Amino acid sequence: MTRVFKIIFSCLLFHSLVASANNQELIEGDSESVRIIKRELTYSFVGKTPILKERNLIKLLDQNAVNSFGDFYSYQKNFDFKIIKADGSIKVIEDKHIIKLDSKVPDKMLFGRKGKKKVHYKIAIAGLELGDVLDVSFYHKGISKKGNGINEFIAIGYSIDTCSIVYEFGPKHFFRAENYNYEQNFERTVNEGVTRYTLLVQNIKPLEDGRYIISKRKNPYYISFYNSKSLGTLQDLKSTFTLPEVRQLKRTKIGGLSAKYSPNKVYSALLKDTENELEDRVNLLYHYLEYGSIYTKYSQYSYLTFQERSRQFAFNMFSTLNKKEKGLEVELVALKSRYNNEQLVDNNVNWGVRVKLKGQWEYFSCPELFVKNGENNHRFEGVDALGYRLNEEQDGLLLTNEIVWPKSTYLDNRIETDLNISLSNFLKVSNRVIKDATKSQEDDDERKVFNYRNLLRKLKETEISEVKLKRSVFGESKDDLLAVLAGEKFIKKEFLINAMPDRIRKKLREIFNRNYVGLVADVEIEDYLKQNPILKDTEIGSVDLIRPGIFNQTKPLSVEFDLVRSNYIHNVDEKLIIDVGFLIGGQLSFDKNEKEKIDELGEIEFLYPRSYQYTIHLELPSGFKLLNDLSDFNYELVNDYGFFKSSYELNDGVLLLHTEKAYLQTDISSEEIHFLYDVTEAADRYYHKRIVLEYETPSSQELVKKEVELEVIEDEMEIDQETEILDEVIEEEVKAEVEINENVK
Amino acid sequence: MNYLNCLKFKNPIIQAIKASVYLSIYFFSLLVCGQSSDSEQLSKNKVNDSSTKVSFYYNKWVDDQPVAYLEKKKNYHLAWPDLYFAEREYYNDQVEVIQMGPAKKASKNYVDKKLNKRTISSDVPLDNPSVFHDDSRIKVVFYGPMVMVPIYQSKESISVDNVHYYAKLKHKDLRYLPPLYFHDEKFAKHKTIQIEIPKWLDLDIKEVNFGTYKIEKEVVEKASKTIITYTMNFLTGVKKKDFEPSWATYKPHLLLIPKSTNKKKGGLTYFRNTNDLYQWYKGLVDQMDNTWPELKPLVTELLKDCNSDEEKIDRLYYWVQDNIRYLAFEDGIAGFKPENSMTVFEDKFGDCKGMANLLTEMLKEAGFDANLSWIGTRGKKASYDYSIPSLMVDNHMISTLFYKDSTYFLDPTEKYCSFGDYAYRIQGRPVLISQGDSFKVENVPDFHVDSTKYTKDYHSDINLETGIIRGTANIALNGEKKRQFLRAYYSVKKKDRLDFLYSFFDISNRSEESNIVVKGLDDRSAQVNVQMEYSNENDLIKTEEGYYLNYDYSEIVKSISKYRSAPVALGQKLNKEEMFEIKLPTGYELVDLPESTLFENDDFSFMHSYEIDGDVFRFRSKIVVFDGEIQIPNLPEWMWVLKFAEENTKNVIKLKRI
Repeated sequence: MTRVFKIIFSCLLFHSLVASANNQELIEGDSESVRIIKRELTYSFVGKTPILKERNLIKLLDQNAVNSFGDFYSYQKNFDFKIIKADGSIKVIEDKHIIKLDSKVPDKMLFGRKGKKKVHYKIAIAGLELGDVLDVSFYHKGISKKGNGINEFIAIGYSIDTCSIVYEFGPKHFFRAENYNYEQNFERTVNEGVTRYTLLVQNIKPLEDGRYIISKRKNPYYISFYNSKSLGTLQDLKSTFTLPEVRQLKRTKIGGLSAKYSPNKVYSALLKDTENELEDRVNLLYHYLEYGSIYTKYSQYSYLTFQERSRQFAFNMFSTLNKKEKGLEVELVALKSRYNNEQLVDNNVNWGVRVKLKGQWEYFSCPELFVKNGENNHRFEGVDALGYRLNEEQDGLLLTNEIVWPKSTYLDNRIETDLNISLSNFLKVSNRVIKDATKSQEDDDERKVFNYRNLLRKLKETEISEVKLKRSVFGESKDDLLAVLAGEKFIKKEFLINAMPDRIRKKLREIFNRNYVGLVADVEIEDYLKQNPILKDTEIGSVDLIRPGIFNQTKPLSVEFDLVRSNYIHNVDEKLIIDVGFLIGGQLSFDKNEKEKIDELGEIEFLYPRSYQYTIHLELPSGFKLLNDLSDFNYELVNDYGFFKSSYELNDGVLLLHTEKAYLQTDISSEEIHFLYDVTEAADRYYHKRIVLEYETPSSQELVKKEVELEVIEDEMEIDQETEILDEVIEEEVKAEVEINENVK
Repeated sequence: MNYLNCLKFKNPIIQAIKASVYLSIYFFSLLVCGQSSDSEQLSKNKVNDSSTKVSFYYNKWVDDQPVAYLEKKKNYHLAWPDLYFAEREYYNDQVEVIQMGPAKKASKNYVDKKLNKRTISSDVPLDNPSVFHDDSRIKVVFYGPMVMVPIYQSKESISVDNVHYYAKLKHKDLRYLPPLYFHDEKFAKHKTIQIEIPKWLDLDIKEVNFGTYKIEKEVVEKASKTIITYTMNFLTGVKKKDFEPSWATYKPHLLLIPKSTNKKKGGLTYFRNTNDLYQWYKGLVDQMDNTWPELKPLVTELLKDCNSDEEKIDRLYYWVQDNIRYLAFEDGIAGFKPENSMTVFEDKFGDCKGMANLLTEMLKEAGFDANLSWIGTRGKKASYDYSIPSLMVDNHMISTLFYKDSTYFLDPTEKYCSFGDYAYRIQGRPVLISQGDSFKVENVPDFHVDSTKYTKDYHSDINLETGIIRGTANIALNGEKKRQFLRAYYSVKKKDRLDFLYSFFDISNRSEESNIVVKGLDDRSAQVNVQMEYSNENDLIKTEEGYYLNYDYSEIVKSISKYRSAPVALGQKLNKEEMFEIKLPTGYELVDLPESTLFENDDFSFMHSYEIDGDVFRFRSKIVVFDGEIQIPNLPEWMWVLKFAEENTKNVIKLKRI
């Protein structure tokens, strides 16, 4: 399906606000409702517990803003609110307007649920008026101690006049902060043993939530902060690692899994199953490690950063394969996400594995399965990497190759969908309709035709048509689908378990049962599929999930099901109208505002190249006339950034409609974005296409003739039946006569 | 099945071991907790018997006035996967939950503490989206019994009967006794409501919405009390549906109206009649302090450039609407007592009571005859009027203005409501108007459905060369629809308002709209008019003989689910009329004008009409719901009409070359 593009931004203040009613606009020429006069972010690492103090001075420019900021929830206990009136006076929030809401829930397990005590606050700001400035401060305790990876979008959803970021440290510290477009203009001051680094930024434009992604490092308002020295670039990474260093890097324990289910034991079980070929075993191991991370959600493992998770994943896979498959070419790969800066710190080195299978290198990276948009699965496309193997003594790593992590193509990540629409039921149903229409002896022929047409109109789509759908998802498109499915905790278990060999299945079932109350069948897949826009308002009959594709990166994940009811076929006024365009799903489109925003940004980023192929088979029984001028379905648009192709074939009463849409590039500048618009507009044209079929309604003579034909058929059937009975009777009589004759004899 | 009989072993020790193994397998205990069904999955749980008993007591050493105890019992039948029940009870400073939880038997009038191990209790604040703060809370109890089943039995067939629930609540003030409903969310075979009225208490029972329901009533007179028992059988479970009105408007229930008691020294009068109700309200109003020196200069400043009385009324009415946010703090008696007008002004927020109070004081300061008033809104209180002296009758406050021999009802919580116009929810409703020591009851006028009409006119041309249909649309909004639009429009950030307009007035997902102009945004009393252009290149389908053309862009009215036993309450009177005109291209004619359809009953009318006027094809669609409600007997026809209308939006007309 069509991917959406997002701008990711943090907005600590505004996610906790609740909008309410509305009112008049008073300031002409100013389209803003709110302006942040001053924003202050202070990270303090002086004490034991790091604290973030966030203060905003918010000027309310219309009544809508007054209503929006007039009352809200807060999950923070530590806050401070003041109103600065137009005359400069200060008004403080009264305690009676701060309502503490606490849910007293015992901490007890039942039905898999845990009771949690929740406390939050509802705050009403009394006396707030147009033109006031709201002075709001929040204190967040316990922010990440790690320091590295504290990334901040200083821009938020409103314009900011002045923003300051301050980092405070005790005497011993390391500080580095960077931003792509800005020089490091942090001013350093020391006062009473506290060192402060301050950055001031003026006139910050509002950050809008949009559908497009830009690389964080290219966003002028994005600041990355590090409290450890850089390791240099990827090329500076050590050419050899000694065993203690490897052990340090390895940290073999995958949290939550005991030695009983260690990768080595799992692989040993896989080896014993002679049906598994090498490729299967490697993929199953990968899958085991991949999904192992999910089921340790509540364990220490899950609190690791993505980089640390990838290290554990890669080192485990590498060491298991080296131990269990002698002679197999396996390399541990160090690489850096294309979303990160060139300079590395300790934990933003990522790790993967590559294995030579059937003469080709297969690449395995740790997926981020909780991230539904799948962004993090594609972070390594085309990046430089370093390959390591075990040294001769088998007690360390040796740099062997400088490689490039492969880039996928649009075909690697394609989604193929086949839709089979059969209208053959129509003939059977229309015969029934003829009978119903002509059964009354009192009706004349004209009336019978009227009845017939009337009854035909009332036929439901389910009586006329059958629709079967098969979808196969490849490559990174498949990873995205798996990520979504894996996020649904009840789906993933059955979904995964039934696809694996019994031995592994049993082991995984035991692990899964620790965290979940029993297993649920594949029927849960239906709920997920129903959320898919193409299937909205449809009923799904049976669902058959073709599983092998989960475990093999080159094989697709396929789903087949029947659409029992669909809103894409309409029986209207003796015509069947089929919204074939809807069947290829909603298409990405950019409105005027978005195009302007993209112009401002200068560049957007797609996740990965991919394509969407649809084949619609429409079987036309006799009596149907296709009314469209099908030349409309032959068109294409092709450029360097993508293409949309549409074609048709009509043979022997079967209409085949093909479409293929592809996105070819991951980075598109605003100068070239119009090529992408051309592709999306070509696809959008198809979305509204319809096929109109007219079914022949007989004249009164023809209807009578059909009625007679049907009667003849029925009479013949009756005669056949009578003849059969007569034959049986004769046979019995003959038998009886023979017996009598014999007895007489 | 008797495994022991099947065992024939020579060695008694082995025999014993194997027998114990088989027995332990036989008595395998499944995990009882099961899984809670998602909201989408229908629970098979039901209630065998349910009863509510109300009794009254007075102990002068304990309570300062007579109290009522409500005892609730339910006998559940639980089925897999929902092998538990969940019950909730509301409480606040007037209601105390004495006990609630599982009971061992139906005859037991207490919660069995031995069952605590399988009980989870929680206590959460009431999160009412229309109230900022309500001091009411909810106690919730989950209980799942232990279930023993044979190993061979499938999970889906597991059920357990006679699982009892018991609750006892104490109502400290009889004025606040809640209505007693028969229905519940679950199906119940049998429901009893029993009220024991002691001789020292004069209490009326009002039977509301009994209508066609079969409810038996039994009255037993005893020496010290009268016992009245109501019984109803086979009550269907009620799940909240779209457009469902409040139960108070159609479900059978009882209102308990205390009148007086001689139990307390000196006697105690509750609500014998409407005057008593009014006097109680007046007692709360008299506690307000509405004198504040800033009021006069505020009103003077606001009215300084007004040239007429009508302008002054408008000015003050709209000032309160625009500058005071609706924000309700319902803390104890604050749920009934209006906030002082000065506090509302300073806070710049208030609930309906506070806003009505502020408006009344401002109007009085300006020299008008304005009076605080109480009203029960449609949708929640439609079954009640002021012949019932009960706090349950009303839920809202407004200001009533007597001006030039007419009565006007001013509701400052209704944003963008002009003077002389009334929101649907108060139309036709009785109003209790304060008049000092006395009161009046008058009705808000009930406007004809035409007052809320909104129309859409589309005029299109077809360009056969390009395949594009172009046209202009004119839309007019009145009444409730207009106010809804204005509220939505002004709640959007300024810079997003243009996008909002295109989205709100979107014709279809196959067309592109442009050049939208909106008039009437700043004048509450005027119609809102919208004009825009549109183009569509997707609705013309070329064929060998000519073209097929989509013509119906009518707005689809949301349908209702098939299985429904509640009326439909739309929340407004619906009067929607759309006209689509298409100029046929030269050289083409229409093949077969579609048939017109007209349908009408007591609740609604529906029309689709077609005509050819020269070279113009014209299609009209009209749906009117006269009083904003569809009653149960007319629901099948309503569903049919909506489905028909929705299907018609896919319909095409055929154009043939002449």
